Amino acid sequence: MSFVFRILFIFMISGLIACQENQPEYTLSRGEVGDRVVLVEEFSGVRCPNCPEGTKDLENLRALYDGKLIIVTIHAGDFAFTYPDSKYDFTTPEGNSLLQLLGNPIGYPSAVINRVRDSNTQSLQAFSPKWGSLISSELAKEPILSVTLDVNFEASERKITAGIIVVPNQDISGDLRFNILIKENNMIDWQSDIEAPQSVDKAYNHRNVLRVVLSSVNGDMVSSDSQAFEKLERFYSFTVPEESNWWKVQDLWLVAFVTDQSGEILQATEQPLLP
Amino acid sequence: MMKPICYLIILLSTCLKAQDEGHFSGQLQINANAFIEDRAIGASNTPQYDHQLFGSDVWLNLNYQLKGYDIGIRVDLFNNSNLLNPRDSYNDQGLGKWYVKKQIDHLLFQVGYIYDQIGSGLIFRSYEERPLLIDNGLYGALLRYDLSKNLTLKAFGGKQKNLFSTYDTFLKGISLDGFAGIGKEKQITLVPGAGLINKTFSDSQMNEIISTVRNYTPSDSIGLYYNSYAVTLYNTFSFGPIVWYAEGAFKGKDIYYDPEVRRQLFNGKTTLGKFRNEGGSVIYSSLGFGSKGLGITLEYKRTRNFSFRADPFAALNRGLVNYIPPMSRINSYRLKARYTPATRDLAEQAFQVEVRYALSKKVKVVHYASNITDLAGTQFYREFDTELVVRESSAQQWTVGVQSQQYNQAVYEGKAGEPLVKTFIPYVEWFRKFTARRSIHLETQFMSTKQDFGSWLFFLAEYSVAPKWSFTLSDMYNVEPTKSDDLHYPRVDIVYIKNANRFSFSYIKQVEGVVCAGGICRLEPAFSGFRFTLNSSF
Repeated sequence: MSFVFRILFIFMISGLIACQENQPEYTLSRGEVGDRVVLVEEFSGVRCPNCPEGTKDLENLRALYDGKLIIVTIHAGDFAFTYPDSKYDFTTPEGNSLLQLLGNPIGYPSAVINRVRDSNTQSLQAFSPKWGSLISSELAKEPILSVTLDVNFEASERKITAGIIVVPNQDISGDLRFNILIKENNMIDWQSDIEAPQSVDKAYNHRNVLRVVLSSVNGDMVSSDSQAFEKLERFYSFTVPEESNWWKVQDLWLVAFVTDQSGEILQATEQPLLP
Repeated sequence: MMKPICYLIILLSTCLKAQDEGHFSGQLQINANAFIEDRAIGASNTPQYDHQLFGSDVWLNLNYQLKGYDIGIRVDLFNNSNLLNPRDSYNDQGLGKWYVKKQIDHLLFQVGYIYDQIGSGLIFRSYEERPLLIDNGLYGALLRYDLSKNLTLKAFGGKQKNLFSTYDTFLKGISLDGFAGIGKEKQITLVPGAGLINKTFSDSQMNEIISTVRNYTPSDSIGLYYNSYAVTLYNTFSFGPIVWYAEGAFKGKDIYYDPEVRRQLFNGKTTLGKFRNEGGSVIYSSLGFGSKGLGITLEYKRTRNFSFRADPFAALNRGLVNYIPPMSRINSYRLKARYTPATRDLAEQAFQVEVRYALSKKVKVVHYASNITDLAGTQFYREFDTELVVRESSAQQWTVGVQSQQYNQAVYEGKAGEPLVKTFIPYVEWFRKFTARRSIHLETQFMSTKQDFGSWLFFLAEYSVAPKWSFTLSDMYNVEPTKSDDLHYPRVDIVYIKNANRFSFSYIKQVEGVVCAGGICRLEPAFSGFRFTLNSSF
């Protein structure tokens, strides 16, 4: 028996000897950014207690990357149902369709970053720990096309006319799809919040909320094989419903982005309705 | 898909050439679900209910033993499967595992997908739980050598399986297991062991970690290491009716994500969750006493910062390198099992005790208690259960009991603000054998609770014609609903067994709830539809 314990003792001592390694070094600074703009589709819900924490994380990253991040908050899924005293229902048919298109997350908060699939989870949806690295990786890529929005608003008729103008920097094979949507800021309403008293914030400022998708939900195909520097454009129009606490024109933003054949987002842009 | 077919052809041709010498065996498991949308119970808004309507999972194992070699493969097929993510659809197929094993004198070697563990699994366990699509096989090599009759050394290395690929982290482990008897007749036995595991992140994983933590404020910045180590010491002491198992596992600095700590943001606000680089520990012990008419089991566990994953970004039940035993028992009764606590790997202190004794030859009593808190004493789970089993004859048995629970839904299901669920469940089961082949089994349970969905009533009737047929009818009824109408959740099962084939066909309405397999749990949405299963061995 003593032999057994001697061997065990030697084994443990050798195991406990600390192994030295050269630590990887890094500096506390944001990653390199160029002209790439990244779209984050954040899935949320009024009853999602952890979602405001995720939103804070995304807004922090947006500030860190000088606005190179566009956030669209989509209310859809398990937690997207209102309180009895909620003023608004932020769910939309397009939001529900986007959830079907991009896949239901296994938990919340969850976001889709530039519609890039995570090889480890096989999912477009990513939990918050992964957002920073995915965004950083996408921002480091050189854009292969430019996207600009030309927005005209006729206030008397509340009519928006928006043109998406895309210029590829190189020849691009496969489909290019144009997507355009409207989001709204500064809507004060109930929101479940893990940090609020009784876990509900009755005056939460809902920002970046998807209101309507003007293109088809999976984008409108504009080109199948695109030539370098050959301008592509498409126009959309929409009449903003009458203002009734929401649909406030000063809080509306338009977001446009282009997806490739695989569905990944190549470039995005956003612009307030009123300059 | 071509690779598995090639492996299959090679394996089968080998078997056919040598069928007189070797032993060929296999298992087939098929689950098939037909989804029928039911918005009233929340069985909706997934691709399966929306348009796919059908999903299936198939596992086919083929094993062959010849001249000391043990070889095998498993082919997995997932078609619109809801196992990976119960809210989404998973489609893939391929080679789930393969292995070659050989014993040469005192040496055993294995290459391929390895399923093994050190001690009770606190620092390493590779295992499979199909109901949750957990398959943590280690893709690598294992050596086991018998140093003496009472001493075995084991060493292994590889990458953890992740669906049909692997995580980048490389895992290496070594363990030593002994046996010793004390006394003339070896009345006292000791089964000691020790293990060490090393985890090394790849460059790409480290780059991902860096691109995340570089965005942290200085107060939250962490030092990074490619390597982390965990050690464990364990022993089983046996003396007469007493069996005592004790294990202590310790982890050095390791990068893991802690979703419960606050992180400073640049705008002065804080948010929840950050990567940490900390050590941790788990202490686990069980003490069993068994003698005629009396059995006592006592278990204790204390966990601190012991999230140990093959990928620091993995969440829920993905990428788990180790296994921490749960501190609640598996309840087979439907309502008693409705609120089951999952193991918490960052902070948990728990004990459970079970006492079994016989009042007479016919009457047995079981008392059970479990208590789970965090390290500060916040209540996570508590259960008391007393059960009386009256065996009137070999043809008739009654089981009556009462269980009470406290379940922290905010912690276990992430439903912040939800109060502690308090339940009180009386239950009765009756089993009657009419003839050597025909029997009936009835059970009913009532859950009284003011929280979550409110109170429930459950009834089940099962009629069996052994050994082939079983017919079961059950209903779970939300008698005092707090969230919906007073809905029924009926279920009908027909099971047919013929030799080594087991077929089951079910119609199911299942309420949203926690589903556990092997101590790992997750929240599953409601289910509505038909389910067919086949299990075959050959």
